[in-house]
Amino acid sequence: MIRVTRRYHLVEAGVKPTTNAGLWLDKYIRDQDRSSDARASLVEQVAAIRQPECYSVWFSRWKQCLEGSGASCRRATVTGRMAVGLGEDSVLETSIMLHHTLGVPYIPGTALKGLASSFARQWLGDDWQPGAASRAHSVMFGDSDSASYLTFFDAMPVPGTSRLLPDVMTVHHPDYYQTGNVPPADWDGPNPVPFLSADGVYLIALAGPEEWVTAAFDLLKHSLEIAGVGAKTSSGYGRLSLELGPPVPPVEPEQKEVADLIQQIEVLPNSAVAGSIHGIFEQWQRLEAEPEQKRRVAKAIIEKVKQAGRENKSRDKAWYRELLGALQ
Amino acid sequence: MKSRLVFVHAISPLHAGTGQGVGVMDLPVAREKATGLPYLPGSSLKGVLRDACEDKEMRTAVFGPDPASDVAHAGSAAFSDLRLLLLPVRSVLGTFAWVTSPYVLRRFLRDADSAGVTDVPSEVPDVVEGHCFVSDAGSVIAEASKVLLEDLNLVSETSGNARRWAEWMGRQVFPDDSVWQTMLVQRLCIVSDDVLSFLLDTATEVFSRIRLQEDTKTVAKGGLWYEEALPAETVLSGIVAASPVKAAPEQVFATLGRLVQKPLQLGGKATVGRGLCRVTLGGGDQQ
Amino acid sequence: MRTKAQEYALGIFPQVSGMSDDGQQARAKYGSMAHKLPVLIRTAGLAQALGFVESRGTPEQKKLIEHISEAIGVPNMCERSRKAELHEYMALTRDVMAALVWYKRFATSVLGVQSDVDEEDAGD
Repeated sequence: MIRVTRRYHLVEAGVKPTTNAGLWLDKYIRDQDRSSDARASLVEQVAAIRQPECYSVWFSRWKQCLEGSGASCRRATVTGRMAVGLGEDSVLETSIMLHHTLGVPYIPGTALKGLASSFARQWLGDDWQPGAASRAHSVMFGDSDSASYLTFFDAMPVPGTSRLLPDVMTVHHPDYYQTGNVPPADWDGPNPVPFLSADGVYLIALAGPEEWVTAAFDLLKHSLEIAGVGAKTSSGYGRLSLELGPPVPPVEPEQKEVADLIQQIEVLPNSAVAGSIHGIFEQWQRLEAEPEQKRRVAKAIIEKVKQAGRENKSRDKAWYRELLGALQ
Repeated sequence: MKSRLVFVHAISPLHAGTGQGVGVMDLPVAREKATGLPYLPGSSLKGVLRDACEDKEMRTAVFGPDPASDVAHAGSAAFSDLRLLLLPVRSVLGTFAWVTSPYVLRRFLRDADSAGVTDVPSEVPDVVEGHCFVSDAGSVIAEASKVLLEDLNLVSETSGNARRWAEWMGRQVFPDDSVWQTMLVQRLCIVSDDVLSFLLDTATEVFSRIRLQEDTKTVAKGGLWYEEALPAETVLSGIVAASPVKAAPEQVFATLGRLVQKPLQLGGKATVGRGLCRVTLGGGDQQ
Repeated sequence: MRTKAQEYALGIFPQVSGMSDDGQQARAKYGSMAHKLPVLIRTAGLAQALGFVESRGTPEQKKLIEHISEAIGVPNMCERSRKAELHEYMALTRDVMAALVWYKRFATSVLGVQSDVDEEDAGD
């Protein structure tokens, strides 16, 4: 009898479209041999995992809760690429901050707070030094005696905007990189080091007294544009453009409608597709939403049809062609 | 005395901490000594609700007088500790699973019983180690009788009982939200007590925090530490009892019901956004 | 009767003390891995984390793995972690983590290596 080991099950498991990207990145590298292409192919695999379908539903609740707790939200768009959490402990020797439960890239509140704090000290002059008479710095960021007046929430990506991107760096000065929180790695060889970066639009949320929130958004706007967040900022990574002006309006009802419809499509058992899909298509036709949102629903319907093995049967139908047309 | 179940649903990582750690975490989350199950002290929830209560008279009646005042009487509301009910665990299929175990469910049943809840599924399945139960309809975390959570492989069996638990808990934690109720049915996973305990020890969220030296951007001495948190989507449960000290139970529950309309921030590290939670009052003999 | 934790402590202390005669850099490599390994195990899983040190680690870091293997009484720990069935895997992970609490402590107290020290600049 062949003894099937636990390891066998893990190795046998391939990455799936619904795999948690962070889990795959952390625990499913094929082998540890440096000379193999395991690291590069792991990075590719993770980059190919799409945002989970449940994420848009999750995000609307997230935003609702932030607003319900009195936070102000503003969008910030990554202008190139961003590498936050590059130095976290990992057997890959490079990493990226991914949301634990959902596997999407995000910017931790700690990183935003740290960025704004150090930017204030370096650029804003005497009033913003820790211990200055104005106490501006300790009010906004807190000190050892008192907590800060402001809350910096994690900045989560707006659904459908963020991607994980396979990236490569060639390290010429390993010592330089080891001075930060980068795992000790002997990167002296000429081997390029694969890593993941991200782009997208992120929802930055702050809570606290209004004038301090406004000041902090100002600070963040400048520090995200000038200094950048995360790693490799000297190579231009981590720059975001933050939209000031009125805060992002609360979730529009249409977004919830889109999320609900996608959910409805996903839970449809394959056996019920033939009977129900046209009704769903009609709902899609009636749906009044942004083109991008409509495209997402169309895509979900098409995926479902494929999943149910009905692609060939549907290909020549007018409704299916209309859906395909919407994807263009 | 009347009581009701209370549920806490973490929207961001929840640091229900103990301070200094003795294990490998510098700042671990609080765990019950006997069982190792993470919990949020009832006093912690009570304190946050008290602060949120703007009606001063009702605040004193429900939560007792301000600790600083010299008037001493108990409040009408008493909170048990909030214990882990569902742990979100990363999954190769379906992104994440909501994991629980027979021991956790049995303990929850005792709470439900003392709160006078009668409609809860009473049957708790026995799970053979290495196996797990998923809902018999629409589960997205199992394929070909296999579930992969973190790097543990489990043999899955579909179960109507698991689905009934998921449906019931969904109605409690996500009232009036059929989409989230469905998500719970799709993702519930009942594992053996051993496996849950292992996941609680190894699959909670860990943050490495660093303090950089301003001038050199290098890590300051003593400036690296590890913080543990219960990940977003963790669900805790407990009971709140109302004894008619200064307010009738109906008034107490009505006040609490109003206060939990808004999200609350519970646990530590609030200024970096931890512990954003939804709280719901569940079934009980005062609905 | 001694608890498992006490058993571990008794076995681990002489192992770590034995490293204190080594050079500063060797101590730092050994000590910093003792601090880092628990989180690496949590992140990557036991099998991957041990495999990482086994294939990529320095001699001192491999020495730490040998020490742990000896202290918890599991020869060929790396191989076991790959082949173990679920129950054994969970037990093995717990034992390694329990032992590492002591390695972490002794790395600090006996070798003078803090958790935040890069192996390059240890001891200053």
